[in-house]
Formats: sequence, C-alpha cells, structure tokens
Amino acid sequence: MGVYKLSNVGGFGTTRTRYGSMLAGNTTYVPTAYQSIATVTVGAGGTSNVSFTSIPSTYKHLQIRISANQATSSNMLNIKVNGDTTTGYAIHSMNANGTSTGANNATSVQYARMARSGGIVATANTFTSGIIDIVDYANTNKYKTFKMLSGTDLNGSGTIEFESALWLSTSAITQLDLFCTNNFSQYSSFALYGILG
Amino acid sequence: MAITYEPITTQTLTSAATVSFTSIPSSYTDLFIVLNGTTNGAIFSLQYNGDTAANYSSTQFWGGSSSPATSRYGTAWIYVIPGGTGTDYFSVLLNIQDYANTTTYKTSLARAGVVDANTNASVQLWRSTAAINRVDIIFSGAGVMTGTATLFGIKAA
Repeated sequence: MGVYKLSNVGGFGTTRTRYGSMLAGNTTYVPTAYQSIATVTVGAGGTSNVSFTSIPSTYKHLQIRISANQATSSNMLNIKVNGDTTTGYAIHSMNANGTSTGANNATSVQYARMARSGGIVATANTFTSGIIDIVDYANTNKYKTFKMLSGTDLNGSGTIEFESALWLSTSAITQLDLFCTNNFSQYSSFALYGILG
Repeated sequence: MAITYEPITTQTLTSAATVSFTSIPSSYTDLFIVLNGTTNGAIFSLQYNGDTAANYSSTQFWGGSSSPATSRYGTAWIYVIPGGTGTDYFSVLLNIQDYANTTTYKTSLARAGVVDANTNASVQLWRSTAAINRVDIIFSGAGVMTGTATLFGIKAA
C-alpha cells in the first residue's frame, strides 16, 4: 500500500503521487540541540524568588540567561540547588569595575552565587545581564560546576564578573532557585535552556 | 517544536570597516553575535538603530601578558586590541539580552580574544528603551576585519 499526501490529492481525476514512506515527500524533522525549558518574567509587584522545578534529566547541559533588576539595593544573586541549604558550595570570582580588578573565593558556603562584587543592579531602567552554564547537570557521578558571566554598566560605574561555583553533590540537578536579598523588579527575566549532548 | 537558537544571517567580510545587521526581527528574546577572523587592530564600537548620540557606555576587563586591567568608557566598546599590528586572529561573542523590549535600557555582554594580545570581557549599556532592530559594529581608525559575522536569535519559551 502506498502513501498519498492528502493536501495533494485533488479530485478523482487528479494524478496522485504515491510515496513509499510516511514522510510523503516531507523532510525529516530534527529537533534542535538547544531547547527552551522554562521562562520566568517578573510582573508588577516583583518577586522574591524564581524557581525552575522538575528539570528533566534528558539534556546534557543547562544554561540560564538572565536580565535582572532589584527593587531596593543591589545584592548578589544566590542560586540554591535542589533545595540544598547546607554549606555544600564553593565559589570563585574575578571582577573589574572600570577602576580596579579583583578576585576572591569562598568555600563551605550556603549557595552558588553570581554578581558577588557588583550585585544585581537596583537602578531604574538598567538591568544586569548574566549567563549561567551548568555542565553535565544530570550526571550522578560528579559534583556540579557552574560557569557564570555577568555585568552591569551604569554610565560612569559598572562591573563585569567571571565566576565559577561548585555544588558538592553527585545528585542530578532537578531544581534551581534564584533569589537576592531584595525582590526582583518587574521586567526581570530568567530563561532556562537545555542543551542536548 | 519551534527553533530556539537560530541563525538569522551570516556575512562574509573582506577588509570591512563596519559590520551591520539590519531589519532585525523582534520575535526573539536575545541576540547573539559571533565575529571570527582577522583584524589589523581596532577598537570595536557598538551602535544600535543608527543612534550616534552619546547614549552609550561600557566597562572593560582584559588581560594579556601582564596584570589584568580595567577601564570605563563613554562609548559601547566591545573589544580593545592594544597596539595590534599586522594580522591578528580574533573572535568576539556578543550577547544582547531582551533586545526587543520597549521598557528598559539595553545591556550586552561580550567575550573576546585575540592571538598574541589579550582576552577580554566587557559590558555595554545603550540608554534607550527602543527595541533594537539594527546593530552596527564599527572598527575605529583604519581598523578592518576579514572573516565572518553571524547573527543568531534565541527564543525563550
């Protein structure tokens, strides 16, 4: 039995094309390797916490793309993994503010952190950009490494930062909570992507 | 499934003093630009929507063979090659997040590296709430680029 594409069938007198496969002449769909998992855009009134829950284990790596502003004063971004609030994280960072450069580290801390030096900006209309890469997040044989780039420019001041963090757990990552000392402002956005390997 | 990370356009350049991406659709969430090739040494300056007014600023962080350095500028510089001569191989990765929103100023993040010179990260600010529909990357002085420039769109769910 052949396959006929109904959109090409026409009337009884129309010559029909008989295909040998269910594709019926269409190209094979190949899903892209970089896929959007979830997005949070903060509404009026702000929010204290952004959560990505039930993260599927089907990807190889994760990426979070951030555009954020805080309501009151600038503070670093905290990242809690799988609800873990023990001191099971370590962090390192390099930063520059247009005047001086710096580096620092901390072990046995409670969260992974981004924008430790400059913080998530609290100036109206201006948003901190950040990109967080989590490599091999679902692997149950490794601790989890975070690689981060973030920055804010305020026309006369600003910070650019490289950071890395380690979550000392071999559990697959299924939840990420992002929060600061103050609420995230309206229009802040957090987008989680999965990268197939 | 909709395509999340999609090439919009690629340009092949020969001794170009400017790279321009025009008529950028507003249907994505973020833009990502990749420049790769050679240059005779230039400062790469970002310009959006043809805005030539003093609405830009940037903070730079770079390091080469000596201590890391930083500086701040009243232009949206995305890369600095100090004293580049001859033909330098380089690459630039530029992220422009939430480029199409009409509520906030536009912040971008760039990473760059050039052989035998330095590695660099920078953040730029365009003080405009307009959606970005055009990006020009302009090379200072007699600077030119030979290579490829690709614009990608990233679409969040």
